[in-house]
Amino acid sequence: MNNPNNPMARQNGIVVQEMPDEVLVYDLDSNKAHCLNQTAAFVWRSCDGTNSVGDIVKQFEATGGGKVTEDFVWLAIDQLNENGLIANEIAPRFAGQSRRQVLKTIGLASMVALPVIASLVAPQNALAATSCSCTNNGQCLNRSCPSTTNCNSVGLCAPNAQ
Amino acid sequence: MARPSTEAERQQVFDFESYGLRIRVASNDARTFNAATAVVRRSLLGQLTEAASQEFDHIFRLDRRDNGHLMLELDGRELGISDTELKAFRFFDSILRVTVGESAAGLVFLHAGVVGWRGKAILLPADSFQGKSTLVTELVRAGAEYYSDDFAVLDGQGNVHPFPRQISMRTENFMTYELSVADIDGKAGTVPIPVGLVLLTRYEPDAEFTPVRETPGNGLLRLIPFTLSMRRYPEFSMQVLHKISERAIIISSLRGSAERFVKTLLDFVDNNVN
Repeated sequence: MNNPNNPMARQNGIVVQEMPDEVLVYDLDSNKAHCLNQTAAFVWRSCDGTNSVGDIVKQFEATGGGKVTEDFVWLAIDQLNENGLIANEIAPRFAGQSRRQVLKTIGLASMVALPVIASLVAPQNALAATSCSCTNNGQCLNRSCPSTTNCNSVGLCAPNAQ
Repeated sequence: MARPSTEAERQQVFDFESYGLRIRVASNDARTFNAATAVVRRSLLGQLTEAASQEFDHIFRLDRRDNGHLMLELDGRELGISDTELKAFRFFDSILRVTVGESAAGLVFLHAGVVGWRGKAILLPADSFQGKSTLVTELVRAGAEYYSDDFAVLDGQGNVHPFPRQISMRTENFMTYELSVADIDGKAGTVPIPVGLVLLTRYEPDAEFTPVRETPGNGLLRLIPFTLSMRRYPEFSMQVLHKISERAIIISSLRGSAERFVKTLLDFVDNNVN
């Protein structure tokens, strides 16, 4: 039975690519991709609205993941929540705390790999991402080119050719 | 789907299909039109078929204004105005390839240099001005087959197809020139090949090659910023990138000068890629 207080993984507006030890999630709304390591992926898959955090701890340990605390699972849930991968509203456990403080709470001696989510954005402007071609200076803003202010005489966002 | 305006129909138009897309290039000026069609053929490496149509995936306009400036428009949206033909056509060339790369049917365009080595592709994803062309040129000089200095064109199986445009080089003082593969006594790849290695690298003077192998998931993630079709076809793009991450080694490392680095890299491929 779903309990609104239990975390529920987002199902809509995402593309999921399962991998042996990781999960890739592409958010169609933000065009952001997230790579969940094995621990984060386990927690995310367990967030079905019926499992409480305590249940997830038990399941994690039962599958040979190692001994963990509820704070450990909350670390994953907080990250999933921050990245828009939890569907329901869940108050963050570690709001306002630095990662160092959080890790202190969890215990750095944990033998279990910490949940990690890495994220990157798909190119918004493919031209800007792939080329430094330009026709005027304004097009050079916000581009990874040698100049962000000058469209030179050969049509590149770069200092003037000499 | 873009539809031509009545006014556009009265002007010079070049309709063609390329990479599964129906495209129109139009202009109000004969000289500009001829130059634009030449850019199209060159930019798309002749991979096009002239085909009349009433509906297009994309319509480009290159119009000459009364003051002589050239205005480039894509699907009714003005992209830029140039006071020189050089700038205008270079910009058009880039926009055309990027537009095709974003929306090509059944293919994923990844911004990367590509060479073939013993039947496997080495992909070098990188932003512009990161030395892709220089590294590709040196790899081809060392015996690798030239596939592209700009895009890895990947099919649904994750194989790379040749996209052997002229190699675009730049001097230290930002002059540009082009090299053909014959200019460097190289050979261009002609058939699709699977990816053996993806190297995420950037140049730093005197840097040593210290490869760090990415996990498949993290490797896939790091390819996403270079994937042109990611926003338009996320599911298909992910599937293709997944195939690469399953089969290829994805590593990251700084590198020193291309001339010194190529032997190190090819030795690494020989020792680590089946």
